[in-house]
Amino acid sequence: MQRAVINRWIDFSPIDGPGNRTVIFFQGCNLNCSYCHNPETIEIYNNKSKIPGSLYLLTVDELIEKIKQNFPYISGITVSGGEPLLQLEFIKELFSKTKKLGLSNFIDTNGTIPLTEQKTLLDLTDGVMIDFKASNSADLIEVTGSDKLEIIKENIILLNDVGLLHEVRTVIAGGLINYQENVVEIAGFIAEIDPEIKFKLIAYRNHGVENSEGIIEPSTEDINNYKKLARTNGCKNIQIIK
Amino acid sequence: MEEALNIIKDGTLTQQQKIIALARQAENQLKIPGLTDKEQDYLNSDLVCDLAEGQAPYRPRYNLVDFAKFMEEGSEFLRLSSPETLAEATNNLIILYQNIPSVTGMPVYIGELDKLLEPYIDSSSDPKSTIRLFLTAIDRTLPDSFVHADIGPEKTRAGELILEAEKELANSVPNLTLKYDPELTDKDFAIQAVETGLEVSKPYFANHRDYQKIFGDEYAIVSCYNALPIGGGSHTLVRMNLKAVVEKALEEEEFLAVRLRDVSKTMLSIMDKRIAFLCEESPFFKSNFLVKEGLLDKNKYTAMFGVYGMAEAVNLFLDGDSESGSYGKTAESQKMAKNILDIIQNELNEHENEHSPFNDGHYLLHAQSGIGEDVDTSPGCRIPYGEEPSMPEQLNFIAPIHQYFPAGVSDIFTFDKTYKRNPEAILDIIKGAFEKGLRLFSFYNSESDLVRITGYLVKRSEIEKLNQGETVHKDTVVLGRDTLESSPEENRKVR
Repeated sequence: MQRAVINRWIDFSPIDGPGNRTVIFFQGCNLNCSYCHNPETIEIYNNKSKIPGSLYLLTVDELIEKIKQNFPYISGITVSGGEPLLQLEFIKELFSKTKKLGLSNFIDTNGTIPLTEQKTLLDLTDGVMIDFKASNSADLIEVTGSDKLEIIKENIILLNDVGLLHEVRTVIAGGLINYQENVVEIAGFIAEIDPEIKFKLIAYRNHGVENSEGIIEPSTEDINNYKKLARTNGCKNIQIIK
Repeated sequence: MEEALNIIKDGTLTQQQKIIALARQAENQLKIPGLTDKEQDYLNSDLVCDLAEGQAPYRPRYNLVDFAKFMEEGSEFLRLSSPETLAEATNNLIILYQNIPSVTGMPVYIGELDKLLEPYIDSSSDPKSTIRLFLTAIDRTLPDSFVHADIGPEKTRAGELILEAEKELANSVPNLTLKYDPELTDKDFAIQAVETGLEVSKPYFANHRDYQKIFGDEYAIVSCYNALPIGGGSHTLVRMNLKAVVEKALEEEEFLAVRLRDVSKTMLSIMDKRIAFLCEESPFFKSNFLVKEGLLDKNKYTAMFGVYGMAEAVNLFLDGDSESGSYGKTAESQKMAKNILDIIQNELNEHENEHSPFNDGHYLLHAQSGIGEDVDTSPGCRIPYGEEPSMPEQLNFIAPIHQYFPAGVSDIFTFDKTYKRNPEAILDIIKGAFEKGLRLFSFYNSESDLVRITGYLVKRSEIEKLNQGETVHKDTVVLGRDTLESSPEENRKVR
């Protein structure tokens, strides 16, 4: 019985996909983004016998047992984290069971795990929300600590081809990289695939905690300007999250 | 007499509010005939409460006029014929509304507005404008938040325009319910209703399928959230304080079931006597034009047996402390609530009243939503504000309890503004809740000026005015303020 390391879950969320959803935050991420709002989910625990007491080590059935009270009230589940696709086999088993229960399955991913060979997973998935944190290698390393630009782009194209691309997300943070350039390129990339793809610009929020790496909240004016830029570069479906 | 003088000298009351208060004052100089000492004692104690309904009831508490009949036939007494245009339709309704009695002095039900107006929409040059004027007239001529309109379940042009106008006008009156059935209500109409709710804290969503099973098609949600037959109504509402009943049982060291039955029987007798006065002494059912013209039919009347303070009752009984917090969180507390309700329902099943033919003479259970004076007792069977468990847990707990209440029950949920971007999320919750047996879903956005008190709407800004000593238009503002003082709304868990 495979078990996954899970950080926590939210019973009802209106911000992690369509309708009301239960969101499960998987522990472990292969990136290390300076503005991460879930930094406690980054650490990967390979030795599953030594996880902290605040985390959960669950089989699919055990996880379902914990969230099944939500099922009458939700459209489906969303796997997030951390990077949920680091525990891909578990996700597949989970999705296969939730699908049978009539729930929809969404993935919130940083896009760095290649999806080209993951037909089984994609067949069980109903939508993917994918991060596109920067449009060039240097900036990607600056933000995330690694460069998976080509994989991210391939994933976006593939997901759009199979009709699973729910949205592309970019967090905008002040004091980090040149977002002007990045938004122009990301918007151009998206618009070339399909101008109607939902492009979500998320303004970094520090939630009252000073960021140790000097990242600050962008101004409303900046965010609105980026939206205009995205529009000028061909995107028609832009949403700002403040 | 001092009471009357106080009313006259009260600078915060409008003229109409003064007149109604003085009328109540006069009525309460009398006494319901035939009450036994025991019945009077129970009324004087906190076991049974008649909600200051009046000592000489001269009209039924709630009257649900058959507006469809009125639109078809007009009214001889009011010299109104069947309307031919939207303007005539809304004008006729406004006129009729001024002539419908209730415990508040204003109608608690003003019709299934979308169905009433839909036939006139196409022939109107500007239906939206007419509907806006109509709704504004309702808010200004019937200044009481218990005035209640229904729409749905089907989507209509009139229904869409009503929701649009309500969202723009943001008035506390009328209260509004969407009768919701996922199979009959178009999704986009339901989403529009959710979006409206997140702006102006109405409409309620009512479990149409469930209510249809009880009442057939001819029911309406009225006043706070009472469910009653169209064309009829409720003679009276009296309520039992379940916490006080448990306190008494513990004090007397007797079985709770024994005390529950005793208080139930006593309360039923009190209700019978109120209704006897109304139907036999007062001439309402003989002389009122609404009855004479068939717009109200005595055969469709019932009465409501109210209960409240369930949370405190259960906590006290199980844990010896009315604020223990078990209620809402344990299977045992849910079972206890059901046991209490089973005992009461049994008493209702064995009791008949000749003047309340609906439901074969048996009164209907109602989860009464509390009044401003209530301290340390929760409305109906609600989980105390601030103690709510997670939302799915709360829904799973209360949905089966809703099934005990045919004549009205509701639960209120507060959502934060992130739900405005995803109203479908709330619709998912409502659908699931209705599948589980919830009967009425009330919600609002925690930042709205319009706040849902226990079952009616009040503007925070109006409460502020009242606190500054200013006169406010709606008589329900003072009720809202008093209730919020004893049970702060900000304690409600925001989702």
